[in-house]
Amino acid sequence: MKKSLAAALAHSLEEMERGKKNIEQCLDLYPQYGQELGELLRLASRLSASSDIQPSLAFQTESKNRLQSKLQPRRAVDVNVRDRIRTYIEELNILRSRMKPKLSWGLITAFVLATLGVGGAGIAYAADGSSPGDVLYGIDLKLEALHLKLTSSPEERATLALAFAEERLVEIEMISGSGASGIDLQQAVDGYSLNISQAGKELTSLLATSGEESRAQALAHVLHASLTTHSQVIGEIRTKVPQPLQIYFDLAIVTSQTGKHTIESIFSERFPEGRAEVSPGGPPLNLPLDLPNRETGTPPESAPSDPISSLAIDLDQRILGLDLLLAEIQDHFTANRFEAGQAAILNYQHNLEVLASDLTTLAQQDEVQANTITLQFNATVSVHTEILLQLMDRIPDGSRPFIEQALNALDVSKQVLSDLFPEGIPNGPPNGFPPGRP
Amino acid sequence: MVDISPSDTELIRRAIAGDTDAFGVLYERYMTTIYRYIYFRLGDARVSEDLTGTIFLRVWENLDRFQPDRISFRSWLYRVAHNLLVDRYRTQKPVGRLDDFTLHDKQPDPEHRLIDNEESRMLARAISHIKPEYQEVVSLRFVSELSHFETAKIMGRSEGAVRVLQHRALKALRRSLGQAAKKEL
Repeated sequence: MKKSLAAALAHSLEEMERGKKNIEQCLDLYPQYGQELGELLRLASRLSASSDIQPSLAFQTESKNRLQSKLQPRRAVDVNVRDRIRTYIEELNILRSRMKPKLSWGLITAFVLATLGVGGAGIAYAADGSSPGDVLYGIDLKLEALHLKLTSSPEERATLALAFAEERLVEIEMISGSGASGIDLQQAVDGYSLNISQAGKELTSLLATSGEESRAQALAHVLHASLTTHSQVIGEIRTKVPQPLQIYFDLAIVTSQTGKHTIESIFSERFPEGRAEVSPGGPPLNLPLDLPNRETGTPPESAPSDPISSLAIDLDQRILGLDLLLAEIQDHFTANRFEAGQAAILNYQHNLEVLASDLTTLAQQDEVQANTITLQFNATVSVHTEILLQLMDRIPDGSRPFIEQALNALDVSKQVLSDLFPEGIPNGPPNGFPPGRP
Repeated sequence: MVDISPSDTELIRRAIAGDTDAFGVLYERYMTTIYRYIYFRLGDARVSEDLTGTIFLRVWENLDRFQPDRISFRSWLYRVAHNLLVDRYRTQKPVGRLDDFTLHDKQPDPEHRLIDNEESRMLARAISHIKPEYQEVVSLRFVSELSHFETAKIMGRSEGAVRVLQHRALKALRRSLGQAAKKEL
């Protein structure tokens, strides 16, 4: 297929920038554009060669001191994840207590009492403070659903759904500390997934509305930042509950991680130029939780002594660690650090292979645990495939085989999962962020 | 020789923790390239110097927001500069004065230096006559020597759009240079 002059110019410039070709060799590639392409390439070279403009000598010598004298002292940032999570939980509790008066409960209560046929406005207030397992918890959820129905703008509905999801997190934290039953946890986790799903749907609806891109981006930012923190919070609480209950936390983590990746995927597709803006100001992405030491394979401190549980937790954390490795690959290739990128891909590939092999071992020992991990791994494989395909479009032709290598490794992992579950890989939780490629 | 200077990531980590010296190293590392980028957009040395300082102050204030896993520090810095210039274009007309500027003393031979200076001056003048978005793509791609990808990120456009834009910008610059040459004749 013939390239346009703009494409030929861009390709020639890239070849020259990488030092692979000179102007004459580029012109040989596109003889049809001969003179015009030559003039433009020579002009570009002149610009690069004569761009040695410098600020005045006075500015160069004095400005640094002037700038440093203006810098306000910064508050040292607390990088301890556990502390951040504790603070977040405290903030959630404050948010929760502050939310109550804002929700126009009077109007809603009257409506609910009529609908549900229960008497006494006090019930609505009492229900609002309930948690899974309480008699009034069902009413609390119905009130929330009603409030969502009465909210007209998708943006407000999404924010409200997010606030309700965070209530579920508070409930999860509360019942985990007081001897939770599986049924109660399941109820809270289902509620969380449902609320996140609702927020996702509202974001999708806002995105589909023309002229609402900037509001959608702002909402995506809030959702993305919240989901990042949610998975950290859930991961932290998960380490405190007995092993049989951890499966519910794994499901909640899958919900938040999948939601987060889907937002990134949607935004890199819809607004490829604004991808970096999805989470400005939010917490750093993909912070691993107690990642095992990759060199020694030492599990996190909190891992229980049961070898099967240890393996499941180890796999779970290593899947989260894959996100970090992928971010590393993206970073190297987009900054044209190809050698480092190749090394990162080899590391990524190795981690995928070991993970798939360990998952096969786990499946032979504990099918339930393996199901949960497979669910998470499958979602990660799908999202990573999508991200790598997009990365491939942005990098020079010569580097694409390395990304293809990583994509092949993901295909192999997918095949391992299919072999493990010949009747179909377990489905993700019912939420508005379907796992995998659209 | 092995490069033992600290990486951007290390310096940013220290700067976030409040180390103004680390930020000073980052400033020295990028001050000239940011100045050049602004100079080619505004054509006024004094204003470009002031804005360079403002950009680094803004960066300091927002360091917490920087996400190294999403964007390189250099691209982020240019993005902040781009936003500041967009704000400036919204509120004020470009200065377009093209006053004296200092050139790096790369060419030791005075005759060659004179020719180089004159060529840079002519190019800068021609750039100041093309559309702002063409100025920006020329400045980022050829003066700052950023890739298509980085330019796209900074300008908030797709890479495809940047490829088309740079073609149009170079054509416009060629025309502008032609007109300037005619005037001088």
